[in-house]
Amino acid sequence: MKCHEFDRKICGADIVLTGNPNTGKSCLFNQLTTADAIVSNYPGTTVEILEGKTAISNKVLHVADLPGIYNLGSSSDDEKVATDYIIERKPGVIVNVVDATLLERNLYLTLQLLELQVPMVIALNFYEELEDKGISIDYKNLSTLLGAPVIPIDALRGAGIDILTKTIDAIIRGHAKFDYYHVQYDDHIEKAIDKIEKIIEEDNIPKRAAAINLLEEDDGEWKKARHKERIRSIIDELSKEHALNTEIARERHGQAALIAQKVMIMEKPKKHFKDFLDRFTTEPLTGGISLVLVMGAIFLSLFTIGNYLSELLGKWFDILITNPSAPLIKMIPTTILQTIFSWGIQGVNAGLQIALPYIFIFYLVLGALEDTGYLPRMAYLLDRLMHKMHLHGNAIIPMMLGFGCSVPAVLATRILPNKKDRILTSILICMIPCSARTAVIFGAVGKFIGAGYALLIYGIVLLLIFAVGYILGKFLPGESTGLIMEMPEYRLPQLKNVLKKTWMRVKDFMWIAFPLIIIGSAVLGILKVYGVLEVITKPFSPIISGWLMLPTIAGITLIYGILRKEMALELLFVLGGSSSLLKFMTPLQIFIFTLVVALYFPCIGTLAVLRHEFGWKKSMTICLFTIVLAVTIGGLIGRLFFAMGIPK
Amino acid sequence: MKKEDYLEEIYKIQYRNNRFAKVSELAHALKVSDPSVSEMIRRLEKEKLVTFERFGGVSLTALGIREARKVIRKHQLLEVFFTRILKIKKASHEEAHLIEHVLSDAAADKLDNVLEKPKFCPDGNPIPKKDSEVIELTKLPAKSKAEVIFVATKNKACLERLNSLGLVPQAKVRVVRKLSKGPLILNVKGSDIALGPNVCATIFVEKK
Repeated sequence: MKCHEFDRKICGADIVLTGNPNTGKSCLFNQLTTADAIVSNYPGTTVEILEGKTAISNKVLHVADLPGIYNLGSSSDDEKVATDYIIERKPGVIVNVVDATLLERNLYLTLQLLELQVPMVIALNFYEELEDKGISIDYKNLSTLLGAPVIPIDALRGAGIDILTKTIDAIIRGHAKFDYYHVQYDDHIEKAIDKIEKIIEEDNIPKRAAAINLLEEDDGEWKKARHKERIRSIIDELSKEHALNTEIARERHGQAALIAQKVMIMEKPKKHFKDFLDRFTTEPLTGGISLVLVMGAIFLSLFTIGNYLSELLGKWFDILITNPSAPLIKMIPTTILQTIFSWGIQGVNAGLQIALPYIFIFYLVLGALEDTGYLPRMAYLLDRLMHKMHLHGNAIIPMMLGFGCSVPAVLATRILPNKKDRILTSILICMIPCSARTAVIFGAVGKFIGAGYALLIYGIVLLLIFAVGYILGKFLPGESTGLIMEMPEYRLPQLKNVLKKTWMRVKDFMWIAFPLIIIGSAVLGILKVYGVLEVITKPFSPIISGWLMLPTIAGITLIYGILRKEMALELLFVLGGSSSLLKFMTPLQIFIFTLVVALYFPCIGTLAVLRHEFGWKKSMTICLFTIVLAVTIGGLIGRLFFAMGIPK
Repeated sequence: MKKEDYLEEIYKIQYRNNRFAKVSELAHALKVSDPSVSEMIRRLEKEKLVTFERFGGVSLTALGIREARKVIRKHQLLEVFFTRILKIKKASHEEAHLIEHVLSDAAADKLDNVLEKPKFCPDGNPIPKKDSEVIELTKLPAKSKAEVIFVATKNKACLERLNSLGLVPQAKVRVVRKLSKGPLILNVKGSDIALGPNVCATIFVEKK
């Protein structure tokens, strides 16, 4: 049990948090450890195993937070990851986080976990919400029935956590005796369990649990039993007459229902504003209206608050940094150092003015939206639209995250049940304007041409996404599972959590993007002084100035944009030597430049995550595709506008 | 072998196993050859009582389920009659099997009344109600309640997910919201679950 003495890879964490999706595991994880896991209100926020440390009675314990699952199995990538972790590595204590408001459904997994005979404690989260729902749960009786401790907690506000840690401590210290509730299956299944139990030799989980799992998952991948053929024949024989997975599921659900009935008293729930909100946002007509309102609000807040902040930051940067530093820089003896300093400062200025305000505001809004529980409703409302792209509503959540950053969005596609959906959604995510690209759209087109044109860029990009999905969906092979997604309760976003999430998502920008901008600007400065810049831009000029009708300097910024998308625009300011694009570019050029930035190559970070998830070949194909698309569309749209009488 | 026997057997397999019925298992159960099963299936397909996929197997349509349940109801009522009134324990199944085909709907209803509308057959299986409305979940209107009969999908991941969410045969469900021709939100075991139309089309329910 003392895992830290052994190899962690084999042994797993001391404490494992597991439970249904959206039960607050990551929230509890943050409470137990000093880690900062992203917490949101939709199923599938956590798609990777998160690890942290906690100290209980002066002992350092390792804690793992697993993706939420409904079942120990392998019906999706995240479910497989969590199941493998629990089954293959023996955790010291399982903390089964249960949504108290959905006790019966949650108990299904609990009963399955109990079969593993691992020391376990049940954390009854959202206990404080029960009263509003007219439910009362006799958690002590529940504990007696299950044979495992049950602790009511409020993971968000931290109530009950101390009792929970004491219980975990007691389990780890003492040789906790457990006499768990035992699901009795139908006779024919019990007989098969007996037979298989005698054959299998694995000892990482109890033989009974292994046998049940084999019967349930007739092609589960963890099945590495030595006597495969003999087990296979028992299962095959039984499968002729019985649907084992369904029968076992039905039995477990039945017994979960019985237990829930014994400990729960239900009264008529109080009427709440959130019930009204739920109806308003999911009824056919009002649902559509609310969708438009939400999207409009995001756009408007970016445009108004983002622009305001951008100008404010620009003004103060000039007063505090640019103006006082100008005479100082002039005193530097060499031109090369002068250029490095002045360009570096301009780079920081551009970063502050362009990227930060829009990225910050967007994440603030996204974080709040995630916490309300609206994203799954969007998935529901847009399911039919997604069918046109041969996808389902569930792809909406990763795509919405894609408006923030493509990297976590591509990871979030793990909630999708099959490879085809994952790849297609990832391709579309690469085309979705992430917050960095949003910063370019607003900081260039929005600020210098107008909100209408910024909206037009979104329109063009979304139309292209739709077209690509429509065409690729037809040709990509594979069968697609439909939408199956739990609708979480509406909850009021907690300011603290939203701010924390925003900070975690923006801090990368501070630590990575700013140094990059400074270095990038300085390097450009040096290249310019030595006259190398012209040499580099020359080979690209047929595409950049010929086809895309942009100034040649734009080409070099597009190369930098591969590192981070917003750098393309920031360096354009630096190279142009002015904080107004209009001084060296026409409105049409700004428009084309922005469109190209929005579409081409989804930055180096995204390439890395694509490669990790799908391999080199597929990820490079996706990137090349976006470059070709961006250049083609940029030139075409430019010519179209030019033909309509808009001057070059 | 009569058409009803096939419907009955397919229903039994689907109800019990929550999956498609295979040609070979039908042949085995009905003691006929594979080709004659295939021939009958083609006929049933023409009458829109079943759907057939070469590699998936046979699945009843909503219409097929209704027809099958009619016969099963007669069969089960007869069984109740034999065991309860006539006190015949043995062989009541075989005799019921023979009579079910000739028993008229009206006579079955009379029998139901005389037996005081039994809920379960002697084996403990629920007896379908008269005129019970069996439809695909897609056709269930908003706000209505239903009981799951079975799920007919070949997609394993989909079936497993539905199983773990509690959408198993006999589960009680309620349509919370519905978009026209689109997805719906279903209340199962207290939680609201959005289901896409193609998932709903594989779930057969009895409207309550």
